[in-house]
Amino acid sequence: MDITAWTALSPYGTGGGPFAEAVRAGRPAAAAADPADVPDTEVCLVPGFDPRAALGRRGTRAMDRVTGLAVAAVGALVADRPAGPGTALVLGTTGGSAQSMTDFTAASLTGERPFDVAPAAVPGAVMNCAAGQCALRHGLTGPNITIAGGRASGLLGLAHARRLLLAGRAAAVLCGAAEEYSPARSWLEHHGRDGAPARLGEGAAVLRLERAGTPGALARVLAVASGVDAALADVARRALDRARVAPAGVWAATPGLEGAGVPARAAARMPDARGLIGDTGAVAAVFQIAAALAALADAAGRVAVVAGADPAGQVSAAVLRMA
Amino acid sequence: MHTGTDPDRGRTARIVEIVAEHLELDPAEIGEGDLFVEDHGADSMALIDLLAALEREFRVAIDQRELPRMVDVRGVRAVLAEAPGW
Repeated sequence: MDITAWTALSPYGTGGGPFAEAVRAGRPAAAAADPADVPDTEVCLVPGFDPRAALGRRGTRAMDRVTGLAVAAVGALVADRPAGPGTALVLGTTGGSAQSMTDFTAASLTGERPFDVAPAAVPGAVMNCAAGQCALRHGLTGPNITIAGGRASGLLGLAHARRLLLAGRAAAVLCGAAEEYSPARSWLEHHGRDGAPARLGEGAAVLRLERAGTPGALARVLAVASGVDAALADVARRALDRARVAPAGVWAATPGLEGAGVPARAAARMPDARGLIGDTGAVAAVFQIAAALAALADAAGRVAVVAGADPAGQVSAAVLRMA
Repeated sequence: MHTGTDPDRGRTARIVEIVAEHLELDPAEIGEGDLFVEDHGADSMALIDLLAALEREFRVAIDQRELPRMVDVRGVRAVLAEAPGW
């Protein structure tokens, strides 16, 4: 399976160009004070992003931010090259829009009557809303998959996309993830980490995946391995075994894989997406892959390992060979 | 033609505003007899959402069986006028 295109809607702005340029330069995204007033935190927002402004008035009145981010990012990839018939979408998420879910519940509890809620908020309070809207708005008629794997979502998505392509269920898969910044997410994260400071980021990133050997490919996904409550290095070693790549030959890798035999210098070659744009939740691994594609564009034939773990236990690693 | 008192005109203007918001249009684009579905492309979610918004705004209860009558601004006004609490 080859990665043939990618795009990012990130704290650097719209498109893969600004993202790649900033990652190559190692320039951190601008951070603002967390508007949710969580102590000692700051946040990296997609600058100026508003679903309605980005997508127009139709169908956006009650659209939540995570759906807007996903629809805009998928739209950028589809605008670049129209999606063929039966194109699949695999979209990672933490749990949809935490803000929409809490707003809906709060409205029922604080409204004059329990049913004083906005029915239009219901679709946004379901976590496959973003993937569904992407398909509806961009005519993606193939399989439509939402993967709730938190920070490992992007890598789990690669594994799912690979199965879709192998089974002939789609000729191309748009595979990515989206995460919104919101006060609800900020508070959930804050309580989930016992008040330790964090720098949250948001955005959406999408890869186009096609069968191995597609002309113009940027990189080949050699293997993906996953586990639950497993050590990152163990999962990475399993992925390398599957890819038939010797750990010593890995050129660039997520830090922390020395236990798998990956050389320490490989970590120094891998750009640190999280350090640059903050903790982007479900998009973290996709942004990390995009960062690797941007930074290693001149490293044809080299192997990169991107690994990610979610605090809920999902661990996943992918082995890529740059084209 | 309905020629109401001032409070009635104010309420009609507010109804048109709420309809416009839910049909994703400007109030000026909504005619009294424009059909929400046929003329403005409203879907069933927009209509049920409109009903809920009217209930909240005017603190009334509208039976969902009245939805088929709420095809335009006139229909909405007629249903509201019969709603308990109006």
